[in-house]
Amino acid sequence: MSPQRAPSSELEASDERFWKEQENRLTRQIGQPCCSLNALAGMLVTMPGNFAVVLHGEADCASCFVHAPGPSADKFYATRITQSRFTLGKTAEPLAKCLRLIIRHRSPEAVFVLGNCLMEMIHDDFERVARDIQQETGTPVIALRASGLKAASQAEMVDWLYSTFATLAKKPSDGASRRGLVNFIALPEINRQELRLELEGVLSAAGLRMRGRYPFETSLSDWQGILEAEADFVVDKSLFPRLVRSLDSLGAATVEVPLPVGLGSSRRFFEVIGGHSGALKEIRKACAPLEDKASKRLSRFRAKYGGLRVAVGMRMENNCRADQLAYDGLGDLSLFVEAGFKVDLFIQGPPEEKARKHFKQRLVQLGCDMPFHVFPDPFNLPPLLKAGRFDVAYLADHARGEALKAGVPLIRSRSLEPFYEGMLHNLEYLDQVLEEIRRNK
Amino acid sequence: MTDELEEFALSSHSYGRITGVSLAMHSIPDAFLVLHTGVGCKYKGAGQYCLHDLARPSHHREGYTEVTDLALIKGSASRIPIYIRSWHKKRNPAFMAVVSSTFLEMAGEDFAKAVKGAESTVPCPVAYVRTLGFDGDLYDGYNSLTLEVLRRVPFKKTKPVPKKVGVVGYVFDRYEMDHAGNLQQLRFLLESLGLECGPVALSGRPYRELMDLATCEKLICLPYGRAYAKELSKLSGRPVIRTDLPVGLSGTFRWLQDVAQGCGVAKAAAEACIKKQSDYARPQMDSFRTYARQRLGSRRLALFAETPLAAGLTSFAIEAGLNPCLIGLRDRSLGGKKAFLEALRRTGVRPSEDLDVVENPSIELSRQKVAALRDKGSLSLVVGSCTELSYINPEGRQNEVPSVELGFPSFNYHVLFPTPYYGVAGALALAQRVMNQVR
Repeated sequence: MSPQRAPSSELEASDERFWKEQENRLTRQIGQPCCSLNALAGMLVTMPGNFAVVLHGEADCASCFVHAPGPSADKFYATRITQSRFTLGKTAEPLAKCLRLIIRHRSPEAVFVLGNCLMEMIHDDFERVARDIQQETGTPVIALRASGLKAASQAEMVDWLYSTFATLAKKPSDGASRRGLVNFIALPEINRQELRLELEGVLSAAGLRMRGRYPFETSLSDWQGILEAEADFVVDKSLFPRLVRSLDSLGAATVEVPLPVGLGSSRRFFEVIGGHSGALKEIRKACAPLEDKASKRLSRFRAKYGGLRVAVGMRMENNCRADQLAYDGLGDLSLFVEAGFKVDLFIQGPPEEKARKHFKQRLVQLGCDMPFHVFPDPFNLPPLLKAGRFDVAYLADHARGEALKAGVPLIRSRSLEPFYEGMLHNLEYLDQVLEEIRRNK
Repeated sequence: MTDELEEFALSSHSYGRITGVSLAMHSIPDAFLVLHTGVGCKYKGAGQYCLHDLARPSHHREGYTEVTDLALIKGSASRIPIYIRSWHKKRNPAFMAVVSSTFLEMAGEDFAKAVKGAESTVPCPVAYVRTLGFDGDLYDGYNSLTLEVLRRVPFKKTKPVPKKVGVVGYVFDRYEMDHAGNLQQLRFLLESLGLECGPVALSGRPYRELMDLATCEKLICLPYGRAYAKELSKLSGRPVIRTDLPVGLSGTFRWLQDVAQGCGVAKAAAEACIKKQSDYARPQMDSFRTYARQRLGSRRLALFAETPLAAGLTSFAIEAGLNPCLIGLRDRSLGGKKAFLEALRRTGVRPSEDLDVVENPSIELSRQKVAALRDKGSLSLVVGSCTELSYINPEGRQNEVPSVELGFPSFNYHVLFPTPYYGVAGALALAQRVMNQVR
């Protein structure tokens, strides 16, 4: 057994100095910092399409992202650099061999090479290998320095990958009509048929047709064809500076739309589309019955539950989901406000004062003046949730145990659904959750 | 898939040592793991099993030292003691361990020394486990951590209790009721031989309870723990009895014989115990075989698991009439095909001549091999983790090939009541799961 000793006061003082000096891994956005390799691999593994990914580094880095349910882990390869190759700097040969084999046997439309921390440490020139193989084979080989050594933000990663995809975009063939075709970037996932039908129905009233919804339901070929649309409607353009620049430079029209969660946001979302396409009247007409139904449901909900309290978690996820990162995670708040909830934000982050100031500044920049609490770990949540007497917690799923401990029902963050139909589902779900608590009380 | 490309393809079980140590620490509820890493390596730990274990949150007992390029340049070892003290203060663990990333190890700093120094400033033992990522797998990491725990068991200071038997080499990966069922079975099997079951390492029990291994007279080493069996024998001064897994009927009976022999249980007592369990299980297994044969005909089973479990499950499948034809061994450290065939032989069942055994297959190769069997119409069922099954039955085609999800990770199979795969009850529970799938 080890000596049973507590730290001396001198040690405590020196530790305290460390924590004060410690840069708090804060990024411009509120979201958690992330590893580039984890972020890029995590996004690529969920994208279908004819591509390949090579993880360039030691074998273990293949487990820095989750492989199931995929669908694309079977397109991943690893150079599995050995210690002796690393020490001798002989890293190019396995990479070149791997790339040649992939291109010969799998014929991908593009190969992404992700270099890890170890390769960054020796500044391995894998870009040169990628260039050479691209030249030799004609297949685009894109080298990305994806180490986790820099505190990157998830927003940067999303923008980096999407703007990289945009470099693969093909100019539409002469004579191909882009008229009426629109893309959406960073919309929430649409899991219900009625939501899809709502979007398509409203668009069709304005003579528009959806070409692609990025990143959900899009494959590499959709990115290659992104320029085939007349307009790209982007949720939170500030999230994608590189992508927007890239699309603009390729002649695409990018237009900002809000995250269409809640009544007001859904209305603004469709009105922006209508305004841009010169079909505002038609869009309003198509939306009117949907809005009316959602509005009546909302009134009933407010009458029944108005004045409840919700704890909304922020900076808890590290999943590089664009819809979650949009507006620093504040995109869903309008629904809670419209539904009559009093919202408190719970930001997971360093407990030091300078981090608090940073978060406050950022919220002010985003026009948010809601009360907020900073907590370092989900572990700290139960007493905070209990003390606040919250009726519902909208938190990352991994905090389910903490919410349970505090006796507050958890709704998984970013599970609220978009558009007017989504509003009905969201209120129905909230109603069920609140009814259940009422019954249990 | 060519052999050359297979060498580079992502394997269906590509976890390394960090994941193994993390999983082992997760299985000691009052332990805390400090990952001396950059931000990415933390996903090699708890992030890999937070969807696998719904019974216990994975993130609470793990923290990382937030190393960036600046810390790498300035030297990162000095961070370790500070984070150890900070996390100890917050979580009050009974045991701590530190692992580090490959790139930090390659910088040549002495992390072992930093950890040793820090250990004297917190009131709990702290182990340093080297987790180089160039080679090794989850089981290497799991074993390294288990061995660190075993090295701290006060064997030399404790008098063993007669007939009390401890078990080492159990891989506990979640607090759900599949493991509760297995652990109940281990206890039941030992007690049925007239032995007392001591602690099982590792089994979701607190650190202090693991120290009670010192009270055991003998130690049974399951095959996952083979790598440290010799050292355990030396450090414990107790006999270490090496066994296979008690999986399947024949596997379980063989296990009982081995334990009985190692622990000095009379042969007649062991035979009586086996007969009793056999009399209980055989008629039900006969019913299963008849049911399955009518529905499956000559179609065959594909199975993916780590070597010791694969041997047990294959033995079960053969005695259950499921006729396995493809086995994917998902580890890189547990002996591979040779160990698999030897373990299978010890259960006394004979595989078919054409059994295809593949070591460490890639996701793509696993998918291709299963697809080829399916396309020939000769596949009845696939047993594997959610990784293999996700690619064999992609979303939208969920029931294309009947499947039983088993092993790590299982994101879509969760267990609310004791459902073992060890012991006689485990064989019947497996048969039940298969029965629910075959049509």
